[in-house]
Amino acid sequence: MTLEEKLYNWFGYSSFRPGQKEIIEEIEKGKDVFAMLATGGGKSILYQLPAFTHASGLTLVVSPLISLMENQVQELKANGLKRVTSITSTLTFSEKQERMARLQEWRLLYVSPEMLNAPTFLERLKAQPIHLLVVDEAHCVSQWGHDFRPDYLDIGEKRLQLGSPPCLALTATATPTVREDILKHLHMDSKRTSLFCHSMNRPNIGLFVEHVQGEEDKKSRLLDIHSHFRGPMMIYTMSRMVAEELAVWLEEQTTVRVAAYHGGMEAQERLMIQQQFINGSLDVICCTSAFGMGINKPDVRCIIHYHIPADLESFVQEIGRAGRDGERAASIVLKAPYDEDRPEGMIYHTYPPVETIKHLLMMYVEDNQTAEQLLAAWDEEEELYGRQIVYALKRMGWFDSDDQLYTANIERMAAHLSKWVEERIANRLQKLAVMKKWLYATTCRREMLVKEFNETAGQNSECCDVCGAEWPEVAVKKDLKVSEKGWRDRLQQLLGE
Amino acid sequence: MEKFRQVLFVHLLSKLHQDRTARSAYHLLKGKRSAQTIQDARLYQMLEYFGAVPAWSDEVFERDIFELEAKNYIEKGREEGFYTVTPAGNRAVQAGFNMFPFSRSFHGFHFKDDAPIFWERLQLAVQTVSFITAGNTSFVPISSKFEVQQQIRKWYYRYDDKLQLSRSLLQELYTGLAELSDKEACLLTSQLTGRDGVGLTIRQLSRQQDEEYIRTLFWGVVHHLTATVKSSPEQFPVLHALSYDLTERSTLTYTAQKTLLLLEQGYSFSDIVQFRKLKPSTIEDHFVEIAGAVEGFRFNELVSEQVKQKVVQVSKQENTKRLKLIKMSLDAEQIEATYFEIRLALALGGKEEL
Repeated sequence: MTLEEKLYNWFGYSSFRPGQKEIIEEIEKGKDVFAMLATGGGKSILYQLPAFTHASGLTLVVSPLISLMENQVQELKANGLKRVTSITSTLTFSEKQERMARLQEWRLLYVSPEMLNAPTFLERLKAQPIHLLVVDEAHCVSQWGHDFRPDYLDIGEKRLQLGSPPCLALTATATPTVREDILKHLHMDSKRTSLFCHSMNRPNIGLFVEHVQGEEDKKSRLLDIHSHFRGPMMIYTMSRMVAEELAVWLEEQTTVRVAAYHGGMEAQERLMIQQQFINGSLDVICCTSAFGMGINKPDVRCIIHYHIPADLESFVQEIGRAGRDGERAASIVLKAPYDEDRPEGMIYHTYPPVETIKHLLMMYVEDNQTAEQLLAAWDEEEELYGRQIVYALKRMGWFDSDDQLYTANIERMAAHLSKWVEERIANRLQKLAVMKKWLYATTCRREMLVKEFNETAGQNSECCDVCGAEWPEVAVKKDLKVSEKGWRDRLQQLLGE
Repeated sequence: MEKFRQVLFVHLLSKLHQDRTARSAYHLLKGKRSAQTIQDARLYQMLEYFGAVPAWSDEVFERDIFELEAKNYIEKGREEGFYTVTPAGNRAVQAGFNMFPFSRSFHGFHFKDDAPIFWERLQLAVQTVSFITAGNTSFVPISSKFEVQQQIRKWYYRYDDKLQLSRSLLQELYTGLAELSDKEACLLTSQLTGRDGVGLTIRQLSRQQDEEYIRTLFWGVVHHLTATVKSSPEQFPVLHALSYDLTERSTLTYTAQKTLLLLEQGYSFSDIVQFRKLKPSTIEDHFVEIAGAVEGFRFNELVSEQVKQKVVQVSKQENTKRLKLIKMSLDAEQIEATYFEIRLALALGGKEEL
């Protein structure tokens, strides 16, 4: 059977999207593959197809986004592919046990990175032939990436323990430095790894930055944008509270159907909002960066940044959710004076201050401690910092091969860590500076953006405000309004004949 | 008072007669599963309010206290953490309950744990039936919990005649919701997902209204449905099959249940302390819990009939359940009793009143 036939038989698609087939062919050869694909470029089919069509063996997918994994599992199951599941920390003990016990049944298994640290789970995995290890959002491995996750650091080590199965590293955005870092940490031999780097440039998305005076201006521009586009929109903010306030405000000001979405909401509520947006019963989502990952809605017409993002990589990832149907779309950043203070404050806030580092080390660190013991020591409030500290220590070689601390020299550890924090902050501030430079650009924004990712722009149907582009005209959609039905009618519609 | 939770809080505070701190009313409304909170809820007959405001945070609570004090609805009491309700506060509670009539079917203590499970199953059951009868067999389930999906799958396959199943489900929901107001019934049906669209979230249904209030109203609907189905299972066979395994939660904390097991086997207090390797004070807490919740224990070897009667009498006379005050009264009459004995006596007495 050709790959196309397999694709049709298993997934019902009649053809591959550009680039997909070449990558799958490499995977089928058992090679290590690094693939950078634009968001919405169809990443998941790259491993889903081999997972189900390969003769035997388990495809293990490590992903940081629990809800995304669950969505994918649901979607596959809904399409009749049942031998797939996920194991994450949100499951109950018995659910985990149940899924682990059926390990040889699964063809595709999604796990969150911290699950790999559970020794019993790893032992069981070792007993399974692993056909492919997929690292989704692989940029999380790199501390130079925009979304570094300490949990990701160990994946490379775990890969060795699992007998070095072929590895597929996936990301939507990675600068060349980040790419090198990913290969190194996942123990992928840079000479033998097949690299696929598709352009992150999305020619059908126009790039606009508006310099406004303040909150009031932003809001009145929101109304303008809304009446221009009238289609599905996403408004990104940096704060849960602002996301909620904006949703309420828009609902008062317009007839638009709008809701907020952020990580502070309950899982089911998030699922419902997401589904409403996808199937068109909501027009606008006011959200934090928690929204969007893995959501495939083709007709989003406009991505608005109500607050500026902290770096270009996040920005590119977020605007990539517009115009996946290939139709004209826009990214609009609303920027007021001093807006950069917010991400700057958050950067400083993410890392423990020097005094805190020393204090925490003095309280918890002991000789010969294992990383795991140290990880367990922090209380709830200290956990965020605690985990960073443990992983930073790991990375800097304070633990030996048995995962034990060489020595608890607090002074030296603190000095070492402080330097690490300084570097991290400097790096993030550097990224923010690039973001700012882009916002104040006086030359073509697209040129500048693609240059950051070592690409060239090529032909773009939509360019940017600096080049004199206007908001794209889109087909006007009429606003729908939910009809207020009586409960008996509603039940009749749900269940009646 | 503009906030539903503030109305509830001040209402509870006044029912507590300054016997307990403001924080104990807060814990009760949050639904904290501690022996003390459950004991309070039972003693002051406020079990239905248990867990009515589950998402209340410490921070917001502090702000609420500040606000209520500033508006002169409550005043600081004699001791740190105690508050009294002012006459203005009591009037505001009345007005508040006019604006936010408390759901007649909400009973936090009975249903707090079961209702969400039943609701999750019901949503998936309706979605499944709704889609499949419309010929659509692939949909993203509204519950991502594996366990719930398994249960609904089993439930669905039990019925051979699917058309009959959808008719029964519809009919049972009509009947089960009929006694409620249209507004209440709508809160449930609008959240359902099926072939005609994704349901709305509580937040969306609340719009400009007090979301915490709408939430209680909604859970009241689920509680009503649970209770109705339970009381006449033969009338609701399909819904009963979704909920038969959800028994009303034992009113004991898990650890007290273990103690009860030993107690029923005839072990004494000190046996149990040894056996369970717990502090005597912990076992005392369990005994008090058991005394208030389980029939058939008089604890005569631990507290005398005289103390029992006296404690109940003093508590009534002085209209208080504060241990310190009761102990002072007993001391004055030269009746010796430990705090543990008083607590046992109160718990036993409280149960008889109910």
